[in-house]
Order: sequence, then structure tokens, then C-alpha cells
Amino acid sequence: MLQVARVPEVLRVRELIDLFRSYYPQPLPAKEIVRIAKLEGLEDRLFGKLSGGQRQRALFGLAICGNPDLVFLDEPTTGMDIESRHALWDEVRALSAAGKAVLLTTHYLEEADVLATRVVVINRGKTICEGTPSDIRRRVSGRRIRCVTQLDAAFLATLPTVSDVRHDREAVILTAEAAEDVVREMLLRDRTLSGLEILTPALEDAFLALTADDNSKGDHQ
Amino acid sequence: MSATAIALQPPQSRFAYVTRIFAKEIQYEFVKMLRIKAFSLSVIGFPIMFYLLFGASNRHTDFARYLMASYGCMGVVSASLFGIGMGISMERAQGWLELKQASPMPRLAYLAAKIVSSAAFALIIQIALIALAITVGGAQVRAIEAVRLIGVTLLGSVPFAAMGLLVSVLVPANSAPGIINLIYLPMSFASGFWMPVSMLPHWLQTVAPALPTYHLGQLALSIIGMAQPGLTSTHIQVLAGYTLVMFGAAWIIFNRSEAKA
Repeated sequence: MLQVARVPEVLRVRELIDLFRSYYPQPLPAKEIVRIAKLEGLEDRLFGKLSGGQRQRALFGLAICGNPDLVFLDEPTTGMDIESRHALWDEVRALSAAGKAVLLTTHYLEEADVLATRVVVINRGKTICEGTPSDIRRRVSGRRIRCVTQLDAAFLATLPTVSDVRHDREAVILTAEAAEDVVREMLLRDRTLSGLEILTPALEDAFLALTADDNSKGDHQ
Repeated sequence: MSATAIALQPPQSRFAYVTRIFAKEIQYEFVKMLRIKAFSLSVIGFPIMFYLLFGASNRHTDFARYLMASYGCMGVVSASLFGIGMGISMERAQGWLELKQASPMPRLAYLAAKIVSSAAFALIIQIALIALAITVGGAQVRAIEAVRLIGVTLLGSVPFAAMGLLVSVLVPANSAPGIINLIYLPMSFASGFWMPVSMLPHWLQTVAPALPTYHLGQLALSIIGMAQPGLTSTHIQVLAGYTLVMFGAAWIIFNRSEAKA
């Protein structure tokens, strides 16, 4: 599946699938393709009349016509609504469960996080790191503590394992390895402390920490 | 696909598989050309409209027969240049060609579909013109003349398909319509598609034999006995030469741009 392919707008979805199926000696049944790519009810629609997300789904359908063992998806969810995106994720999981390898590039790190068994982070054409999503998350040490407190930022920075203190509107965000200990200490010292949240870093934070510039691209398998 | 997977397949003949691809490719190419109204209406519409204007006003004259053949050639050239030249140029720009090349589709199937479909358009135009010549033009057309004209139309599609192909690899998609018109209109005028070559300015008459359109026109006109002096074999040789050169050039340029990409 190519990132920006546009197919002739005057052919119907059914016709495109029929055409692409003919290229393969053992294609998937057309019905199966329509089901997997969630194109039910759109079969007789001209490609030009499809919305952005529907087009992506149609292109995904064309990519799996040949019942491939290895599927390359280049930013397949670009322009999809949330529902279609989740539906496509389900299908990627189903492909993977059926023993097929899926190589998917994406800018949405959430996507890499929920789908991938192995993530490769590429920045300016070089592999920065690779591993499971949790491996990569672990590269950024510590968890985040967000709360509204009267404690002084300078003091907070002296608490054990705290590596970073930042202000976020009315609250502060601490990054600490031993989050439980830090929170215990803060609760003891500040009875007015409120809005407490403890967050595990998302893949996105790991990603930002790893690339540290914005000219970057996630790439995962 | 692994060797075991191939062994598991029912023995489908390679021939049946390739034939199927060609058939589907041609079928959908034709459907596509037909549905692109800007193409189908203008390519079929112009020769018919011109015949209704100029053929009808020259009713029962030799000119009514002449235009039947010459507008048919115009149909061949415009169907090939616009259908193939503009078609491929657009599909390259859109990424459709790239997507197809990522599939196991044979390149030749794509090309064959374009040539067959534009020849089909040329055929429709020629048949319509013969029917108009008999009815509106009041011309006498013998069955053998009609069959031969159709034959020239179909064979003539090949050299102009090559020209279309060459245009498609040279011209970017957004300027293709303009450039094709710039090639096609002067060429069809100078080759006697609008009026006999003998009525053109003298300098044009000397230039005309260098154009492939001239030789196509002469082949068609020789069927109804209205050609300039000249050998049929010369016309065929010139067209064959043009075909080889233009296909070759298009092939080289295309492969070079592929290698760059």
C-alpha cells in the first residue's frame, strides 16, 4: 500500500478489486477483501466519490488482493476517521494473528504502541533504536507526577530520584524514577496537594527524547 | 510465495492466467476511457460534429467521401494521443502506474489495454463516420471500402499509440492537453485531414510527407481512390519506421526515469 497513490476516479471499488485480483494467481475472494477492508456498501461507489478515509481503505483492500504473506503499509491511516482507524488496527492485528508479517510506517506513535511487536525508530534515515514498544518506553527513565502543590520547585528538585521539574499551567510536573517515594514525601509536606496523577511515559515521550528534533519519522514492524 | 504454496495451487495454465489479466485490463481501460466524459465526448464528438457541418454541406460530392476517410484518421490520431498520451501521463502523476507496477501485472498488459481501448474508440468513430457518409453525406460506400477503412483505422492506431506513449513520458500531466493539441491540430491540418493536401499552401505540401499523419491519411484515402500519387508500401514503411523509433524512444526514456526514481 503506497502512501499517496490515487487510483482512477472513474472506476468503482468493485471494479478495482476485480482488476487487482486478476493480477494474482491465488487471490483472496472479493467478498473477503471487502470485509477485511471494511468496504461493505461502497462496492458500487466510484473511487472519486469516496472520502479520504474510504480511499485509504480501498487502497488497503487492493494491497491485500493477492493474499500476501508480507504486507507493507505506508502510513495507511492518514486521513482516516477514528472509527476507520480502529477498524484498520483490528485488521492489522488479524493479519498478524493469521501469521502474516506486517510492516507499517506511521507518524502516529499511538498506532505503533497499540499494534507493533517491534518498533524501529528512524530519524534522518538512520535507525535510532529498536525493540518492543515497552523496551523503547523504558529508554526514557522515570514516571511523571503531575499535581497542584504549594511546594517550591527548587525544593521538589532535591527530592530523591527527581530528574526534572516543570510547570504546566497551575500544576507542576515532576519526572522521577521512584515515583511512589516522591509522592509520599510530597503528600506529607503539603496537605493541600490536589489533582494528583502519575503517568508512565508514552511512546511519544520516548520518541521525542530519542529524536530531540522534529524532523523525524516513526517506523515500526 | 513459497514453493510449497505454488505446489498446492490447482494447475492453472500460465496462458489462462495471463490472458485473464489482459482481458480485465482491456475491459476496465475501455470503461475508464468511456467514463471520462472530457475524453469520450470530445474524441468521438468532434469528428461527428465536423462531419455534420462539412460533410452534410458537401452532400453527394466527392468531398463527402473524402471527409469520411480523413475524419476517420483524425479519430485515430486524437483517440491515441489523448487516450494514451494524456491517460498515461495522468496515471503516472497520480501514482496509479506505480501502484500497478508494485503488483505482478505485466507491463505489456497495461500498454496493450491502452492501445486496444484507443483503437476501439477509433473504430467507433470510423463506423459512425461511414454511417453518416451514407445517410447525411449521400455518399456511395462499397462494403469492401468500409472494411478496408476499418482495417486502416485499427492498424493506424499502433503508430499513434507509440506517439502517445512518447508524449506521455516527455510531457508532465498538467500540460499534456495543451501540448497534445499543439502537436495534433497542425499535424492533422497539414496532412489533409481537413481539406485535400493539394489545396494547401505549397510549402505545406512539401512538409506534409514528413508527417506520420500524412501517410495514415494517404492510406485511408487510397481506399476510396482519392490519394495523392504515392506507393502504399511507402506509406506503410514510413509508419512502421515512426512506430519503431517512437516506441524505442519512449521505452528508453521511461526506463531511465524509472532508474532515477
